[in-house]
Amino acid sequence: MPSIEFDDSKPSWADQVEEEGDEGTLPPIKEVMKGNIKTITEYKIDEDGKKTKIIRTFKIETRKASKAVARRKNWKKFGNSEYDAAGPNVATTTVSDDVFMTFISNKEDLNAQDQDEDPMNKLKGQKIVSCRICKGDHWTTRCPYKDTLGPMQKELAEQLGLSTADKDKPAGSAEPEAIQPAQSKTGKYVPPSLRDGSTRRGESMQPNRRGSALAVVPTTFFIFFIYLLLSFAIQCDKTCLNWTQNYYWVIKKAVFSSARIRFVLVRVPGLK
Amino acid sequence: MKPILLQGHERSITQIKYNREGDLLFSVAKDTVVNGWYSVNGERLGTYNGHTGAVWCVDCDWDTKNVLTGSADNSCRLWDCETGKQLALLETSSAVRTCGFDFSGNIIMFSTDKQMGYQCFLNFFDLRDPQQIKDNQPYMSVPCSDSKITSAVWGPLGEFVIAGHENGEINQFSAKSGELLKKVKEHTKQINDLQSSVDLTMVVSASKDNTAKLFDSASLDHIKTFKTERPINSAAISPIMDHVVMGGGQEAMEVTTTSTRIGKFEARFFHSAYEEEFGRVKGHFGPINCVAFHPDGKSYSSGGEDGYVRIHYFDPHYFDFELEA
Repeated sequence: MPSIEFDDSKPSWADQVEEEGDEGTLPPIKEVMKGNIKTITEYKIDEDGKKTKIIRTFKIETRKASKAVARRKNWKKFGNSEYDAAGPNVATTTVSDDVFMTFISNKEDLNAQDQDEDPMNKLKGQKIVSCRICKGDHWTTRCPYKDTLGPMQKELAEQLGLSTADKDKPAGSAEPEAIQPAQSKTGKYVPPSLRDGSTRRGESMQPNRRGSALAVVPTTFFIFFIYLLLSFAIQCDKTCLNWTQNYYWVIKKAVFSSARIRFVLVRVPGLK
Repeated sequence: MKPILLQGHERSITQIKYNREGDLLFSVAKDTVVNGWYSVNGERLGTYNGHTGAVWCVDCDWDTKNVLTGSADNSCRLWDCETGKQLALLETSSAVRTCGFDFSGNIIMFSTDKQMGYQCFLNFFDLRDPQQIKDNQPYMSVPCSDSKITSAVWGPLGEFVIAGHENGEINQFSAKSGELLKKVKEHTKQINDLQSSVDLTMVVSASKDNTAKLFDSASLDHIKTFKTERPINSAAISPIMDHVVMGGGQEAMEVTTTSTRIGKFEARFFHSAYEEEFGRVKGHFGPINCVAFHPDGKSYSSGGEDGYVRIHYFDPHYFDFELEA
């Protein structure tokens, strides 16, 4: 039996029940048949102790079916539905909202319909961004004509700036003077190192490492070798000529003053 | 039309099938539950409990005595339709992807997946021989080495099985000898579903390459093509009208960029001769995974990724609709 449930609430039914002379227990179940619509009214006590009225409306349809189909309708339920009552179970079966088949006579119509409803397309119509180069619907940095129209624009602006500067000089008013420097610029800031006539050096923070190193190292090592020779000589000949001793002392001072040599000497023990 | 919403599953529906008379609708899903419903009012008849993995396929025989299901728990089970009792358990080495009773209801076929080192096999069992079921020995097992079978249906008179493969091929395997009878490659991507017409003369294939194609069952001649912009998950042929219904998915990209409209996933109706779309039915909250026509053609059902099965009874308007040529 197909069932259709709808809500049919009468005002203050609770009062009606009380008026009927409170039995203390629940009123009996009422079954009303009107044509082919059967209405069953049940009263129950809820978990909270409240009386609830449940109205079920069924439409009784008689359908002719083959014997096999009719027999199957009377099969006992099994599995998870074993303890289900006759008729559809509310947990598993509901009647959904009306759905209409949208008939398409023409594919274009459908696509147009889709587009109209799309708010995104409404945004597309408005102009939110505009490019400085070609005035298109994109950001300047994303302009497709960046490399062609971009420099052209610069030149045009420069020419405009210079020509207006020439024109304004004979006029000789204060205002054009202020505008002149602004107009002679092509509209972009050019850093000093990239300007025409710049050497482009002196910008890097790192010193001329290689040059300076090359100057110092040979000198240091020259002194170092003299020192080694002298110390070797002294070791060999303990009588020590005075002059070697003096020179040895001077050279040793020079050598040890160089941090580089100190580093090497510390690392190499036995040469202290 | 007011569709009846069946909420018997918690995960996405994998297949729905009507029995031959159409009074029962079976639905299976990834949540191991097999449900049987009365299609007239959506009342649930019962559940066939036993599977322990996602159930991929279901079929009912012609006199609605037995129900066959195949699952990812490496088994194919036979159930008694009336009581829900499990009659046979056929274990396999990999997940069972498609299954079906032949026209007589005596022979069952099912295909297994290519996984874990096992090849894809198409197995045939004869139900009249209880020994086969006891020993779990099919009377014939056909290996398919190249591309695994993703969907299969019986041909007319139980002579052969038409199988759709992962690479878009459709092959005919003889049920008696297992040899490859015919081979057709019309689709470019995986075949998601194959369904035959009520008289088994035509077969419609739904594919991931955004088209559905209509073939003649015996000769595998490609008759018609239905084009859409989305991969099609399932297609079915109307028993009484020249219509084909299709359900598919919406690409993930589209979902975030278009305006959010709840219940936007649609089943699309095409005229099978003119290959033109004429109608759409909204309602599902997720891609539609399976569609099926009632054998009398007056209603159809769709099962979606949202776990709901919707039974739609057509308005009289549908039957009067004439496509303007």
